[in-house]
Amino acid sequence: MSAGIHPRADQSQADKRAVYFAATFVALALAGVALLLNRYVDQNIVTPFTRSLVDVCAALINMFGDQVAANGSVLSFIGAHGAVEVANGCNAVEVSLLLGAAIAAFPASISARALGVLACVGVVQAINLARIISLLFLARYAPGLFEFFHLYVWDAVIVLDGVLIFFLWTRRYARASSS
Amino acid sequence: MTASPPQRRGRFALVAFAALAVFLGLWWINFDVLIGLVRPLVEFGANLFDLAASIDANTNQGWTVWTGLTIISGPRELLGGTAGVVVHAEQLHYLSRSFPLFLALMAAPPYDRGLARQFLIGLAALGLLFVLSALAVINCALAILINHEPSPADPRMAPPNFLVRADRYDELGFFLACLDQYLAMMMLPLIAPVVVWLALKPRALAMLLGRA
Repeated sequence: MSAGIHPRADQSQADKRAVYFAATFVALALAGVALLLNRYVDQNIVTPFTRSLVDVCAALINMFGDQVAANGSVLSFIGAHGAVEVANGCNAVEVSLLLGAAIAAFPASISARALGVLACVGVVQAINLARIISLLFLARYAPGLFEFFHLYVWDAVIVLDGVLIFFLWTRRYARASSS
Repeated sequence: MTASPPQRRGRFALVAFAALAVFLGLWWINFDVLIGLVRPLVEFGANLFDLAASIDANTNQGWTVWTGLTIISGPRELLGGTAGVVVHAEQLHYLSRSFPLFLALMAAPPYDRGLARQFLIGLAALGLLFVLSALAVINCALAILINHEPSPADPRMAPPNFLVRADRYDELGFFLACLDQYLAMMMLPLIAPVVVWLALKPRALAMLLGRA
């Protein structure tokens, strides 16, 4: 028998890490949900954040010549039909919460996890800006496709992106920690 | 010559997104038929948990859930009638989002033997989750109807313009009913397909972590 870690002990260690990750992820996700349901958090953090998304979308679109207005959580064309309201569920807060919980639960240094949450959630929110802008243009130019993209396409794309972003981060972290 | 890990991950992403486009389209087109298949199961569950007497499809692609509760106050034409709550088409769409995403993830490499069996197991698991989630939505609508208060999780879910005769949900029960609905609609359809996929395809997890 050669020296070293027994394969069965190694597998058992990996199983323990997996269970720890899953339990921590679920606990963090539920804690995040409890926060989101808190009226103070909703009124003073989530709602202003949603409105800021709308403001950013308006600024981006206006940079390219179109005329849109941001009015609270409603983004609309000025002088033409077509408007979207960014409600809870359309601000990618839930996906950001799940992604942040997954990164925070992953066995890594605190700084790696903190930077990972900021960077990865930032990428998800950037994709969400594209979602909001595309839905606005669909509402104006192809209203028949709006519901399909609103209810299905973009949510699935954002979740798939979240999965890929998470695993890209774990790969990068694993490479950084081994070097 | 076998593909390198970055090539394998690139192939996974490409096939997953392409499959997603196909399955989303198919799901959208056949939504009525698919939801119609599940409605009897949800009705069975609603009877089992004493949530509703029956569930009918309504003309707006949603469901009308007949509660069996009597309306005791409200517009004259409704008095004495049976209260119904509506599960909107949008809510059913939200609940069913997990299916096309799961199908797309499973359609992407790596491929194992017994792929068809994995598909069936995954669809059965998500089907069960859909039924339980739909029951959570119905329970929340019932809690809002009986307690005549809006949901703390979603103020858009407001009580109707009539009252029914029924025992109120206590504070904790009401909060849990609304929390379950929120989790069922906003969280589970996003995370469940990923969890089921990874449970059925450990090789996919290994590939994404760079261990394959």
